[in-house]
Amino acid sequence: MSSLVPLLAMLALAVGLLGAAYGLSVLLTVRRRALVAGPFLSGGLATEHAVSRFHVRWYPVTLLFLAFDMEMVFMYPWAVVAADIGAEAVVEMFAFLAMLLVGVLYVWREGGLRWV
Amino acid sequence: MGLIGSVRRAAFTRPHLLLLTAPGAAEVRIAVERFARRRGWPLADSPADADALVEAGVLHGEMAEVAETVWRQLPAPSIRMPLAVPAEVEPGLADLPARLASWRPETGEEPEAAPELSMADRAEDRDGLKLDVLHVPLGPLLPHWPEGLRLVTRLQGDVIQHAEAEVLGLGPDTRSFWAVEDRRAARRLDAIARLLGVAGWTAMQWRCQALRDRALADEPRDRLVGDLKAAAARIRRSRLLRSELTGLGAVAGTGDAADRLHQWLTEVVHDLRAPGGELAGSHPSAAEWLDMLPDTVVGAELTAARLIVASVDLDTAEAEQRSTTGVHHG
Repeated sequence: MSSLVPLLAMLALAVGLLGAAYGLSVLLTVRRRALVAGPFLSGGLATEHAVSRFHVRWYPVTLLFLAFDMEMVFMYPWAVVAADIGAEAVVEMFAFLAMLLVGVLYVWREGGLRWV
Repeated sequence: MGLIGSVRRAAFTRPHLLLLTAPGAAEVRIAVERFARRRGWPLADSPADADALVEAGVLHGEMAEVAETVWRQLPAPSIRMPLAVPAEVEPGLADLPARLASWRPETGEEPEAAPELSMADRAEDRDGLKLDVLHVPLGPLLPHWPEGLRLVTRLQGDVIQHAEAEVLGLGPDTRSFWAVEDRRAARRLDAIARLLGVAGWTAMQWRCQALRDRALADEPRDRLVGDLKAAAARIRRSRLLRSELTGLGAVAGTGDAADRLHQWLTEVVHDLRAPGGELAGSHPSAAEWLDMLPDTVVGAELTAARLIVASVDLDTAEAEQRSTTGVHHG
């Protein structure tokens, strides 16, 4: 039971702070309904949506970034145990990196890293 | 209510003003700027930051529509304050904090739903990225922007591909405030302050605005010239400013933005020493600038275009009702 006390205290604090923020907003607001306004275009009106499509060229770059992002995710836990496991872990990680690098070489060959 | 009232009073001790100026109403604008500078009230850059929409001068035609559009974008509590003549500025603005603190919503005000917008289409562009084409109006409500000027641009990324310039809100009674001969130094100082404002040198912008107000107030010229020379020397010495402006908006006869700034500085000092007299160098008229402006900003990035427009001393009140177009060649 006593192990639940910190949890309940945290919950009470969170609800309390949230309630205080909402309460303050209700007390201080001058108009309940939020303002609906278009984008500010120095006094003009927008003629098209600002959500824009990107050139397909950006997507390989995104995927490439993701590949290395995930590699970092794997490397953090690996770094903790690499010293205990020894050479085996180092070889495994470098094999993994080599496989990722093949992807980069492929993208490079296909011209995905060429900018303009 | 006492607590809430004092919180609101504290929140509105320095209201943020959104200033919309009609062509030819520079005198009202200057009075508002001076008031705001003395009291330390900030001038808002957009409606989201503003507590009050200040309309300087009489807004005709499309300028009235612009005011209406912007007014609907101001978050409550907000006050709309038309100031037609300079004499109304002091009493009108002095009341503002109290009016904002006691603001109550009017009943029956329903916010309108935002209209559904279609997505932008793509087109070929300079870098071969086929970016979306967005139609973005610049002005008339922008900080440090010529009164009533609207530059309708076609943007891809932040590069202007096409531009059209027009002057909004010219009425039958629109007269240029700057047409008087002995206001020429003040006009140039106003233009310098505007350019420095866009360039981001706020302290020097205020210094130039203060000098402008002193020039308009007919202060003894000797002291003014001394202070002015010091400011001009500071501006001339700034390498950062020079590198920011060099090569921007080059036009035959007046050079680039940096040249125009230096020309203004020379003229101001000269003008205050000996008022009147002929001006050296070329000074295109408002109509000529409106003709050249679209072509000058096409191909520039948005930030560069803002600097280019600020580097042009365009008195919109002198323009006839017209619009001009510039297209990207190559």
